Amino acid sequence: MLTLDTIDYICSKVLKEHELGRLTGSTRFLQDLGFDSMNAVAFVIILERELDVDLSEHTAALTSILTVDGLLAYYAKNCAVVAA
Amino acid sequence: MKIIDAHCHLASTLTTPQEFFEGISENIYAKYVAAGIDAISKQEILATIMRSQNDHNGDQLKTEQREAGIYKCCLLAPDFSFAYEKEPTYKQVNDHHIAVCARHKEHFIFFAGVDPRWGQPAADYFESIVRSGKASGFKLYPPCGFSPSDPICFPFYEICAEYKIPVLLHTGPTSPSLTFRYNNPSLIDPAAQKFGNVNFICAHGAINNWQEHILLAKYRANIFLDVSGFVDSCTGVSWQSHLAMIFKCGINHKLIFGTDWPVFKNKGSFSSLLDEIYGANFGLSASDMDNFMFANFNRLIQSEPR
Repeated sequence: MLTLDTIDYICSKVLKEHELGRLTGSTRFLQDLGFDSMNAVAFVIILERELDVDLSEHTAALTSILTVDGLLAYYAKNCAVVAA
Repeated sequence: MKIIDAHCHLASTLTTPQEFFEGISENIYAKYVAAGIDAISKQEILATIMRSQNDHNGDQLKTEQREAGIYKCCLLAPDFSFAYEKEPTYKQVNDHHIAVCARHKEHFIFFAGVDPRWGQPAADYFESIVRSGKASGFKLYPPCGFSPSDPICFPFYEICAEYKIPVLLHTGPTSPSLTFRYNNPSLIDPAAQKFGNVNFICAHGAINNWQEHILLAKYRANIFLDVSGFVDSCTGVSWQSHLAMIFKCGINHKLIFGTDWPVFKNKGSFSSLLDEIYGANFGLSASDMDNFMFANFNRLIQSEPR
């Protein structure tokens, strides 16, 4: 299951300057965290590893999600079957 | 408005060997290391890329494009079998593309790819699939190790002339597991001059080495440029600014829309990309926009006069 804490942890792996515990549901990946396409893909790679899932069908959608809440909602709706 | 994506590839391990992606993984890894992303290995990057090459029949590509309003798509089938000395063979690659086009005949056309160093048997095979109407053009990949003006290519250009189909050749950089020696735009000019009755499309030409390509397209009647790869261009400005500049060069009748999917796959959907294109202020007339998105390429594959 994907949680805010997991996202927070992965952000710390793909962004040198990320401080754990500062993430909220409304945090924007692009504007607030400074994500670019490289960070986004690295994020998905580590997400797959952490949750032991194959998200190759969802990569494009996941990398274009704007906020943490948006990611949590997309994952819960579209990736639950993958994760099960 | 009708839209043709004139430059796509099947995302399939059946048509592209792992060696091609190994080189790409090296570059991504170097970028991650420099950015301090040390939690990902080269093997993980390669594995991720290989897993994403799973749209063997083009079903996903067609679905995404149709949802975005893309009317037709040209699949390009580069032949890497001579360069990497391994399968898939050119016959396997092209036969697979023929099967995909038959499966989705309302959506896909394809340009057949053969490394010209395979010689006469390959030329005979190429002619057979062109004659039967299964291929709409010839895809050439010089980074495999030859100049597009090397006489070994001429039998293939003669077939293109006879059947009035275009040649599309890769230009600019590619996987570092191939050579960059033959990516200079001027290498096509001797062939384009000799085969004045064949139309040549320089793939990525409006993006890579664009100044030289624009001069070629402006003054050589049978040279055209596609913009594929524009979302990840190395032009030093945003792709919107770059395209806006290209559109002011007086070659709007030579510019062809293409994405290079699945290369930009991780940067958003076709729908969001098209929204950005139509939302950008390029200052193009409706007629020029139609030429760019549809008519320029459609003329070439319909064998209509230039």
